[in-house]
Order: sequence, then C-alpha cells, then structure tokens
Amino acid sequence: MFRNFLKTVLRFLKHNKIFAGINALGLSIALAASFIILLFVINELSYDHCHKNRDRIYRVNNYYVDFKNVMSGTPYVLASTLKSEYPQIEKAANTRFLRGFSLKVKNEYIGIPQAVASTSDIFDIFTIHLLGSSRLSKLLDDPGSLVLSRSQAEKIFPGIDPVGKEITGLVDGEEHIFTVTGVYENIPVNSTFRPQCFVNGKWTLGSINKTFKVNDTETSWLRDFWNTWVLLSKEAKVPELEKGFRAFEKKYLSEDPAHNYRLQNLSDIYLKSENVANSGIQGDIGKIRLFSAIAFLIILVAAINYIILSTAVSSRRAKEIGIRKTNGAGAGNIRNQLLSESIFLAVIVLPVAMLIMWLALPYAGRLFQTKLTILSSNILTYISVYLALTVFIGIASGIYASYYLSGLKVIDILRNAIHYGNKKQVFRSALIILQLVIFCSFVSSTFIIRSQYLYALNKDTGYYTKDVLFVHLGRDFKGYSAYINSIKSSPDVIMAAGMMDELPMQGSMTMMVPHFVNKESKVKVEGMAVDYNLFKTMGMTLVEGRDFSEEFGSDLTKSLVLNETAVKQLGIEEPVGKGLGGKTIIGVVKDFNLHSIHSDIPPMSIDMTDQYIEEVAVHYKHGTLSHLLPFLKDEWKKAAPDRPFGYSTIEEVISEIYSTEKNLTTIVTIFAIFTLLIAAFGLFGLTLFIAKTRTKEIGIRKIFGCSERSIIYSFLKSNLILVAIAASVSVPVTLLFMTRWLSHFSNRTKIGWWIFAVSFLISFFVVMLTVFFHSYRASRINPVDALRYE
Amino acid sequence: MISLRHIYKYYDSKFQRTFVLKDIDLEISEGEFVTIMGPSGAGKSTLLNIVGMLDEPSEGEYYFLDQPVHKINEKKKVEFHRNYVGFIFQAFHLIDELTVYENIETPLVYKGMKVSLRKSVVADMLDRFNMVAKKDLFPAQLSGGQQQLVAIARAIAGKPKLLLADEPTGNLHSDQGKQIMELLKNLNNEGITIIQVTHNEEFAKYGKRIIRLADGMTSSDKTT
Repeated sequence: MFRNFLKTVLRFLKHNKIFAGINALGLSIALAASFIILLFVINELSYDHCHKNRDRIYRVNNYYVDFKNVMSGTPYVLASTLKSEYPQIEKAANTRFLRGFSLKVKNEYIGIPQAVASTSDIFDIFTIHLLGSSRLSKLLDDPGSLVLSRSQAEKIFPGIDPVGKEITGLVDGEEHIFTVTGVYENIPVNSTFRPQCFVNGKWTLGSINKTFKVNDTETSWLRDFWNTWVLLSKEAKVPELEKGFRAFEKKYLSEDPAHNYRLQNLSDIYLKSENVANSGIQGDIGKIRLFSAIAFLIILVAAINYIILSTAVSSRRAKEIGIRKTNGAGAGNIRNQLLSESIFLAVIVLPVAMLIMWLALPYAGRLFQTKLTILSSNILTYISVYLALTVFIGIASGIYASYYLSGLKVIDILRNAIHYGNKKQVFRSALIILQLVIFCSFVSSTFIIRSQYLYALNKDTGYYTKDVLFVHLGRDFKGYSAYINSIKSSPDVIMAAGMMDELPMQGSMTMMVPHFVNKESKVKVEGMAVDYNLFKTMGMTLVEGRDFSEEFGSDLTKSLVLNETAVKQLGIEEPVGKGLGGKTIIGVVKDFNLHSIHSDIPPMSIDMTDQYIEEVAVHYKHGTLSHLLPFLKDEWKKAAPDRPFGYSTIEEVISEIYSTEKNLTTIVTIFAIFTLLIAAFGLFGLTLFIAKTRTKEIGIRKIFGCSERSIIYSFLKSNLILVAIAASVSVPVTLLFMTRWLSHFSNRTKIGWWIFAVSFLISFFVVMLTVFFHSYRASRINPVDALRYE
Repeated sequence: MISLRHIYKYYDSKFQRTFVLKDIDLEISEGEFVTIMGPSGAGKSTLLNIVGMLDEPSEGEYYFLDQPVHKINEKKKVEFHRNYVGFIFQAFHLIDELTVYENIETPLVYKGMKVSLRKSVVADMLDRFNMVAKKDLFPAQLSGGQQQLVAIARAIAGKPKLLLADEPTGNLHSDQGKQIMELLKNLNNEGITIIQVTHNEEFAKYGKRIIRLADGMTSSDKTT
C-alpha cells in the first residue's frame, strides 16, 4: 500500500514543482536553523552526563546567611571530616587548582593548565577512565603522585608509557620530584570538572599558609579555598543530611556559624549556579530557553507554510481522494496516505537540512559566542532528536490537510461541489497572520534590544566614557607609583591613577554595614579600592568633603569616601567627619555606575589601597591615543620588563560588558530574516496558486471591462489587510516579551512607537513585493486564453 | 439484492423544500441490467449515488444484500465499497498520477489483497481488455475510450456483485460508446448486476429493464 502512496506523492510533487520546491526550501532552511540551535541546546544540556554517578555526586557549598549568597569555597578539612562523620557519604574529596604548576621537559618548564590538587577519592566520585598500566587505587595517596590526562601524557612523554616515570615539577617556584601513577582518558568537553592533571592535595596548602602567614590551613575551618565533592550512598537522603549539617557546623565552626553547608547536585552545577560565587564554567539557562523558543517559532512558520500550501493545492488532490474512496479507501486510509506524504516530504528534506547546517555551523558558532562542536558522545541524541523533530514537523504540518481532505464527501468531490468558502479562506488567512505576527515581533524585538544596547552605551555613567584607557598591571605590581608618575610627564596625559579593577566593574566585593540610626538592620555595601587622583582621572565629582590627598598622610589607612546612595541608605546625616568601620568619612562622591546598567547603583564605600592596584586609568587629550600608546609601552618596558604590556580603552570595556545584548541583536535579526524568508516563500506559492485558480474569474472580469490596475489592486488590498492585522497583534506580543527582557535592566530605554511602524513597513514591503509579481501576471491574462478551455 | 422503500431526497432552503427524489420504491435482484433514464434534473444520478452508498437518502429505507444501509456506519459502507460495488463515471475519474496498471491495482490494494495475487488479477484484466502494451502509460496518454476501458477494468477487478455506471458513454463518440456497452453486456452475462444511467436511447436498450424518472418520481418501469 505504501508503494502505491509513494508513487502518487512522487508524481504529484513532480507535477507540482512549485509546491514541492517552496515546501522543501522553507522546510530545509527551518530545519537547518533549528538543528543548529538544537545542537547548542543538546550540548548545553548534556553537561556532566559523562559522570555515571551524577545523581549521587554533590558539591558542598557555603551559604552565607547574612549576605544571602552562596560560595563554592570550603575548608580543606571538610571533605575528610564529612566522610568520617557521615556513613551516607561514601566518598569525599577536596579540589583546588594548583596555579603555576609546571613540569620540566628537556630542561624547560611547561605550564600545565587546569592542574588539580585532590585526593584519591576523586577517581571514585567522577567518572574518569584510567588507561594502560595505571595504578587501580590510591592514585594520589603519595605526595609525589602525578596523574596525567592522555593529551598531557602524550605531550610530555611522547611514545612511551609514562606510568612509573619520574619527572621534576615546579610548585610555588620550588622544584619537587613527581612520579606518574596513572593516565586517564581526556575528560569530555561537556564536563564542568575537567582537570588536565591531578596531584596530591597537600601541594595547595603552602600558598594559602604563606598568604595568611599561618601554618594550620590543613586543619583550619576558616580558609574556604577548596571545593568539596561528595559521593552519597544510594540510600542517602539529601534534606536529612543537610539538616544534620547544623549540628556538624556547631561542632566544628562555632555556636552561631555565619554560614551553612549545603549540597548542590552535579547535574545542577552547569545551569543552576547563577547565584553561586566561583562556581567554575557555567551555562546560561536563559539563553537556552530563548534559543529553543526561536527554534520553535521557525519550525512553526515552516509548518504553517506547509499547511497553507497543502490546503491550497488540496482542490487538486480532492479528485484523487474521491476516486480512492469509491475504490474502497476508508477515511483512515486517506489520512494515513496524506500523513505519510508530509512525513515523507519532511524526511527527504532532512539531508539537505543537514548539509545547510554543516555549512553554516562555523558562522553560527561565532554568532552564538560558543564553539558549536559535534560531540561524539551526543551523536545518538542528535540523530534521534533531529529525526524526531523531522517526523514531528511532518505530522504537525500534514495533520490538518489530512483530516480536512479525508473528511470530504465523495459525492461532493465528484460533483465538483466542494465549497472553498469563507471558512477555509479565513483559516488560511489566520495562518498567514500568525506567520507575520511572528515576523513582526522578531523585527520589533530586534529594534528594542538594539535601542537598549545603544542606550546602555550612551547613558551617563557619572564618569568619562571617552578618552580614558586602562593599562593592565596584573597582580602584585609593586612599582606602579613610579610608572604612573613617569606617564604623567607626557603632555598628552591629563591625569592617571591606579585602581583595583576597570570601570564598569564585572566582579564585586560586598560587606554588611549596620544602619546608622537603626543599628539592628544591616545594609549591603559594595567596596572599591582606589589610588590618589582616581576621581579626577575618571571625572567623578565630589558633592561634599574632599578627595583622597597625599597632603594628609593618613588617607591610605584611615579615610574613606561614600557615594550618595550609601549616605542615603545608611541614614547618615552630615556624613563628613563621621566614623565608619574604624575609618573616617572624608567625602561623598556623586553616584556613578559601578557595574553595567543591569543593576542599580549600589551603596558604595571607597577606600585607598596600595596592595591591590591592578589597573592604571589614564585620561588623555582627545585624539592623542595613537602617539600616546607607544609612549605608554616604552615606559612600561622600563618599569616592568618582565611583564607584557596590555591595555583596553573604556569604550572597549563598555562594549565588552554589553556584548551579550549586541550579539542578541544580531541573532534575533538573523532569525527574523529567516522567518520572513520562509513566510515569503509560502506567500509566494499561495499567491501563485490563487492567481491560477482565479484565471477564469479574471478573464470574465476583463471581458466586462475590469482594468488591470484594479485586478492588481484587489490582490494587494487583501494582503495589506493581513499585514495590518498582524502588525497590530504583534504589538502586545512584543511588549509582553520585551518588558520581561527589559526587566533584567535597572535602567531601561523607552519603547518607541516608531519601532512597530518600522516593522509594519518592512513586512508590508516584503509581502507586497511577493504578491505583486503573480498579481501582475494574473492581470495580464488574455481573457480569450483564460476562457477557451472551459 | 437492492431494495429501496419510500426513498426521499430533498434539500431544505429557507422557505421551501426542494425534492430531488420523491417516494421511490425499487427492487433489483442479482443479475439484472437496469437502465435509468430521464431528463436532466430528474434525480437519476442521485438515485445511483444512493444505491452506491455515496449519498444518503433524506428519508426511507435501503436494504443492500438484506442489510439495512440506512442504519449502518461509515466503516461498514467502506466494506461494501471494497467488496461488492464498482463504479464507472462519465468523466472516467482515473488517478492522473498513477499508470494504467496502478489504477487497476488501486481497489485491490484497499481490499488488502496479497501482492502476488494482485499481480495476477491485474494481468488478467489487462489481458482481457487488450491493454497489456499500455500498462505503463498514464491516463493523459490514452484516448477517452481507452480511459473508460481502464475505469471499467478497475471497477470489476475486485469482482464486485454490483457495477454502477453513471453515463459511462457520455464523453465518448458513438463507436467507442458501443464498444463499452457491449462490454457491459458481456459482464452482465457473466453475472454482475449493472445499473447504468444514460441519456442515450440506443444505449439504454442494452439494459434488460428500463426505469424512467421524471421530477424525482418513477414514471415507468419496463422490462424489455
């Protein structure tokens, strides 16, 4: 039976090339676009699936009750203590990156990125496949153990089995001898935990001891610098375990601990860690949702095309269906036939869609700001999802036509008495409107996102956003004062000053400060550390008091400046001269944007530092950047010959901060074009079809004196109405979604009415262009030809 | 075989009821060759469609092979179409996208016949109608008479008990028409019950019984 269907559909498509072509083209573009998006989505959702026990793997986080924020850092002793206290915790391990770890190969040190210090339990928690002659257990028990990933092993010991070999390693600038105890298969890229090598956990203690000038880090509960991973037993219950932590905290931390230990499942770490500080690599669930929605909309537009075109050509299919019914076909047979046809059409388009996807993948990767790689571990998922989607789109688009056509009465078909009346017309128009609504909403959204982006770039920040650059000093740069003084000598430099981080700042440091009047309540205040002259360099103005000054020798340690918001929120009257946290308030600075406009201006406490200066802000005369740069670089070489010179202009910093918005504009624009393209194909086919079926009508009209112009006009008018309806419906739809998107910003642009006018005009022009071609041809019909064959 | 009792067919519009068929009583037994005649709009085709279970009467009872058609569901009607009824139309109604061979095969496919059996039945038909050489042609490549032959071959391939022909010669010139009528006569001799609707007095005489309709009522019913 299927062979009979197949022949019919193939020959039908052959005779209706335009119908087939338009459908295939629209479908393949839509499928390719959604395949790319799905590739991204599948990859993002597949994170940490490579770890077999992921349902039982948890990270122990630190929840700070006062700040209401979560840190992933925990003390070194936590892992071993938890394991010994709780039988439900089968395995526990702490991890910390061993920064600057390098191995000596042929008298040269090779830095090993992502070197992790841990304990042997780590191999039982995560799924790490050991290779060759690796030791089977206790891989890290020896302080000199070294476990390498396959790629590192091949790099360092090319062509030989490294297990048992000795190698010199550099930890904190000192040489030590390490022995390779194992090699493991590279951990897949879609794992949040991806070390390049493992060493014993003790190696990380030294640097912390040194920084805090202590020697008890190994047993201290105060140094939260390690991630703690646990593997729970199958019977363990998380809420119960977490409740038990309260007593545990009392026992080891204090009577009234400032923070609680909480468990976070491995499966939640990649996508649900937006509130966890220092969580490591993270995905963006919002992005995944947004892109899935876009993929869905594109597929919807393509499916609508199919429905519109297939109901339009259905009058031709009707006869065949009538005949089949008189030959003994039931409604079920007909439905199956039509459904398998549309599934068939979708499936034959699949390879074309795959080809387009493959060609577009590199460009899409740049657009999505991620590497869109085809992961071998996900191939089965890709194939099944793609196939399922293809079949689904086939069913979804075929279902209407199949029910409509199979329900037709034979007698009506054979009598030629099917009424292609208003109902079907209305249905088809509704579908076209739906497509146009999607398109118009895409266009308006693009404009809104773009105007928000421009607004962000041009908003008054409270400091110079031009003619300022930041020279990157890096950590522990002692000679920064000398460098600042030397560059100040240039006539192009108006002022220069050291600071902790670039502005607008990405990270933050918060502290809880008690309210001045109501001492019980605490206010979250953000800190910022600066050098002399920073306010002057950045163009910030003081509304009260004075700036930090070298004339008062004590400013470095004893003074601080608040911003207006801090004064207001802390309830301080006459702030200058009052004390705060052991320091004296010497001035109040006018509010400025510390971060991006996503967040409000926080209450700020600014003090001086000479330890954490990592950037130098330089305010230069307009237009002098090109000859200032060589000078800055020359001075840099004198001041720090061993460090690379690096800088960013403030424009670069700001556009980097808003790069997500900029990218979103591009992405939504591209998908808007796709939707329009696909919808235009459908409209083109439909108009062609309508023009054909109206041949006789137009012929008769012309005989009775109808002008060509009024025939074209009649075509255009009906479509103009559709566009107008769609554009008006798109207004509330866009507003609904865009106000939600804008709510992520504290400072928002106004949504102008012109945005909707422009999206209306664009769709109007495209629709008119599409329709005009066929309506013009239809209007040129020679009435004699049109009526000859009747 | 066919028994129509007080069959009415009418359409209601706002103010009046338009009758197409009025109180038709008709008995047709197996092996008959019935011709239905009458002027345009007399209700001939409607009657044929009701008999063929493509249309439903507004009132009255219809028994086909002693089963009450007015009471059975759509599924059962499909069963009747598959096993007992074949149709021929004035406009041939072949599927344009299928070849001669495939057109003849279609009803057998719906009947659920096995491939090997289907092949032999279709081959048989092609042989019988002298169309073996044309089996791979499409309907558009055949003359009207040849198309109607294919339509007949298709209609009888499933060995129906009843063959309904709605002006089978209407689109053919008289020589071709004659050929088709001879064929129908032979089929009738082989035992298939035939009901045909025609305008042509000459072709009407091929029927053993002629029923004349006028304004939806039987005006005469003669056996020749």
